[in-house]
Amino acid sequence: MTTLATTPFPAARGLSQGVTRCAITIVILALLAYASAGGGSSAALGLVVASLGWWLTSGDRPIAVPKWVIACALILVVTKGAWSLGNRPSASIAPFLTFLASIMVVKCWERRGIRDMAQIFAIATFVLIGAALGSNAFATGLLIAAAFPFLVHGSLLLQLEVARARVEQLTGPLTTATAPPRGRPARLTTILIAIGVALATIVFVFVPRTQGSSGLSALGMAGARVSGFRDRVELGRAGLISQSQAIVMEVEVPKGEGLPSIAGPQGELYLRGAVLTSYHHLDGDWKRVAAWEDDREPQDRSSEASFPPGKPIRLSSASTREGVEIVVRDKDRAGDHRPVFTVWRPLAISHDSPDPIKIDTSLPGATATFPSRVPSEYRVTCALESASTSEQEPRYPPIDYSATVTRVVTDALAGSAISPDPSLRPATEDFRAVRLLEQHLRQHCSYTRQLGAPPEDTPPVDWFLSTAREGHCEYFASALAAMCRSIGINARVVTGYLTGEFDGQRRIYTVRQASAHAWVEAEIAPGRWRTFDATPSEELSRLAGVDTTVMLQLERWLAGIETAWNSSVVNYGHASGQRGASDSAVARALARWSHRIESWIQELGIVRAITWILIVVGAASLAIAGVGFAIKGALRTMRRSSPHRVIRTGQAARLYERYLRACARLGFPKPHWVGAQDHIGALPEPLRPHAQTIVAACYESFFAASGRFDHASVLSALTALERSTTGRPRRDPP
Amino acid sequence: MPAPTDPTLPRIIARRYQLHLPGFVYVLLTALLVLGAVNSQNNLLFAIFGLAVAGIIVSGVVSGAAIMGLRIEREIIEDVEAGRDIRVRYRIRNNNWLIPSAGLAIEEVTTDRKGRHASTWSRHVSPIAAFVPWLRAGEELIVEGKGKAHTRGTATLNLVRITTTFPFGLTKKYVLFSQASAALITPWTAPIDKSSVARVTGGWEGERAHRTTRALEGEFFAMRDYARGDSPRAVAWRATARRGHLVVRQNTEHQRRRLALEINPATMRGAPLEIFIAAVAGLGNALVSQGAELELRADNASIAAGSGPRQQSRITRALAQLPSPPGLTSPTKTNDRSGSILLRSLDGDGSTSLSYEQLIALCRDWSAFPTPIAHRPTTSTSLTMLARRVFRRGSASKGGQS
Repeated sequence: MTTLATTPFPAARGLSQGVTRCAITIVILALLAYASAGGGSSAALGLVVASLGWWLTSGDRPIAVPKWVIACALILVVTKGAWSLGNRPSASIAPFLTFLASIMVVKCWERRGIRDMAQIFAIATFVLIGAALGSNAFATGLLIAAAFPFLVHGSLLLQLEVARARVEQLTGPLTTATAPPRGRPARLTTILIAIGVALATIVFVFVPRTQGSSGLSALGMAGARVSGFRDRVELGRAGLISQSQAIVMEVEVPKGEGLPSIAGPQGELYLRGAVLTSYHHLDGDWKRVAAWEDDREPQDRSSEASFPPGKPIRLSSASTREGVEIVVRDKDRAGDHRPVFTVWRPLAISHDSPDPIKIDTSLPGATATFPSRVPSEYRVTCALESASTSEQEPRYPPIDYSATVTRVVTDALAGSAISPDPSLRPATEDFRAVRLLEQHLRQHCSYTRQLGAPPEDTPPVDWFLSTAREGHCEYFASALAAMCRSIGINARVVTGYLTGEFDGQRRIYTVRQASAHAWVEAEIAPGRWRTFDATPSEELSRLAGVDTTVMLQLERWLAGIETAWNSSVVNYGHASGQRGASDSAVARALARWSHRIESWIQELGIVRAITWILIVVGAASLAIAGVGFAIKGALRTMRRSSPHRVIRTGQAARLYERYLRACARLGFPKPHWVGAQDHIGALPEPLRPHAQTIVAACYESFFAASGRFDHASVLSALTALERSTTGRPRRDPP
Repeated sequence: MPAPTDPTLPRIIARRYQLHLPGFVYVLLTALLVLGAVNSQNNLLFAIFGLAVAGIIVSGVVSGAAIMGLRIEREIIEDVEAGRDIRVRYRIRNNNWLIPSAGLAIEEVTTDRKGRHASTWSRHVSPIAAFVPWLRAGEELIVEGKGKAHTRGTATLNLVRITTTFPFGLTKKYVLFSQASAALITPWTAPIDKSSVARVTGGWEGERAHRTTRALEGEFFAMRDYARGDSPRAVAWRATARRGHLVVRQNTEHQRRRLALEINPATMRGAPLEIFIAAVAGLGNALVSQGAELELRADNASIAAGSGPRQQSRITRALAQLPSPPGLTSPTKTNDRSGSILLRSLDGDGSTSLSYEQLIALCRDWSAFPTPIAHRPTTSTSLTMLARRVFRRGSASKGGQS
């Protein structure tokens, strides 16, 4: 259907409303993503400033912000970005993200044309990508997913505006219709998004994971994960206390009635992860080393063993009958050297993963780790009590950390007739002494998750005990362990999880990221270690998940979604249990090649490797182009040489073929490139009326809507033509 | 036997895909994304990388299909006077059965990249372009391109280009069609009033009874027999009845002023020819519209004496096609304004020579005289264009130093 596109349209318009709406939406979503990636108050401020700018520079009477004001603002933002980058000790995405978000906010005040709008789209896209680099949270993923349709639709509409502007640049304002039919772009956007998401899913699933990262680490872009649990304590540094309700683990305990025997009196369960024995008082650092002595460098005593699925590996000489078996379903599994989480000393371990799993058993405190790959589910038989001769440490002399620690210990033990000096104190009093120290900390220090960093020259524990008097669980544990050691009692800090969220029906403990905790194990008798926790009891209730407020329930429900997001997207391919397309033969072949390329890059060096890659890619492109041109040429030749045939069926077609044969017999073959009427014109005069009758009738049958065919007249004309003697004499074949 | 190629039928002569700056940035970003994703093993980045790759694939498929099925045909262009809009109608069709085309900029171009298929429209009219926001699959649409005619002459149009960056602007694609067309741009007619005409014709103020509603003019002269071609209204019915055969009344005719305009562009030493032609067209138009029988005498364009609107049209068309002598194609910057026309009476009662200045002075308002609009060069951002610019700049700076 032909229509004349001359719908009156008011001249001198700005950008279409669709583009503007998409742009403002994507700016808001990008700022929200920035907030979810840690932007916080900056994002809120940016949202206000961007909204104000958008409102003022649009509408019926838009305010045109002078160009120099925008330029000054951009210079300010660039300067601030450079300043914050220069003052960062290590590379981080946060200042880049802030810089991009600031630029985007400034651009919201300058919306003069298509170019500005395109820049806003581009910068918003960069902000979204930056947010993905900064945070893998479900909220970030959701915001990126929400922004994607607006990005596609906005880009699509923007291209219409680009073409319109191009024409208006040449001819002046258009007076004909410049808007697409209503709903058409949206429909196309929907189709494109559906196809795009399908393709993106294929790419996402088939790209092999964990390959290439070692080769690319030379570029210095290695990322870092933030988690609630860590196998190291660094006091005074932010970012260690996570309040996420995301589920990191589920622990199934043996069948039975009531609370399990391995749980505490209120049903709480301490899951040991890492035992930290090396302590640097000045830095406030606790590390996991082979021996627990202070200021001792870690020794490489790794004892890695690989064990196949289904077959338990014994980690202790003790009989497994002495222990209790728990099943750990680890949902985080991120990073190397992830601990084997147990209640006490692991005696045996088994897993059902298809591939062999390595385990490192050379760690202090009778703990073990998975050096590389973590099974999604493993069974651990753990000892019921801590007594073990192998864990017996010599009684070390007291360590004089600082006057502050000594003073607090003296205060704590004052009035109890327990001497801080181990030579004067009987060994049986050690338990009481530790209990008194624990009580003292609980009474005199309060719990907080918002703690500032201590001054540079002050040991964090001293600052906690004397100045701040408030801190999180790591401060309490560090202080208690240091105080124990200062009076000659062997003590160590343990990091892990404390949970009380028990499902009695399924016999499962749910462990959340916010349940990450640190506590102390002290040797109260030779080889007998006992758990002490100086953290205030109300905070322990929170950690253990006893709190059941509506907000917390809601938070946990959202955390369930976050967990699903983490397991299906964020951790996709890192889990041994997920054997998707990335474990296919193709992916394995890709992985092999990836390994070869990585080693090759490491051998050659990054610059030479890139040069070689460019040469190879260029040669391959030339080869592909050559093959393409050859195929194209061959196709063109085939198309030229092949006769152009119109396939028709039916009575008319049969008679038409007969007519063509008759013409050929008479010495007037019809070339396929000559039209029927031209061919008739080339026939001798007596043949023309017959030919005209046949061709007219056949063509009417082929092409006319009625499709009628006068069979009798065609047949008689054809007979007359065939019987005709007019024509050239037939040539004999050579 | 090769099929004959009719230049007036549209045919595709080129299709091009240019990876311009936004597309290059997009591809670079995608490459960085996969590097970042592999390096950090961040699955969210892998997901975004998947979307970016999907964007490239979808863009390639959609844009290729959208441009492949386009066919365009330029319809016959009407003649237009300089200073007015020239309107070119394009019949555009999307032969694709599934994918729409959108954001199409239709432009007339002068030559292809190799300088072939040259056309002359750019000397006579400003750029002609049309915009098609959306063309559904299988839909045919007629769109109107608009340009401004500024210089008289025959404007030939050959190449028409359809450009789009649809759907995501990653590549700039165009398809180039060839179809020969032409339009005559008649000269701008300078407005000249009666008093000016009277001044140059020696007081003649035009024919008063030229326009009449009556069938016949003048006084009765005689009766004569009907001849083929006589108006039925001239039949004298009573006389016919009396005589038994058709007779018609024969009246006296008005004695029209018969004039001839003699022009010779070769004498226009230094005078702006287009202004001169516009003034001549204006004078001729004024004379004919006041009832004069006018003849145009020029070297290559002579029109026999005649009157009425058709004669006006004939004269302006002849002036439109008047060739420019060498050296007179553009207004000169010198102050030499020599050149004249001769207004001669065909009845033998004298002639008037008008100099260039006198001729110009006849027109009461020259403000509407069309001047060629400077065609702004397109700010193409294709990588090849950028490279060319950089190269040129580099070579220019080298030249400056040497």
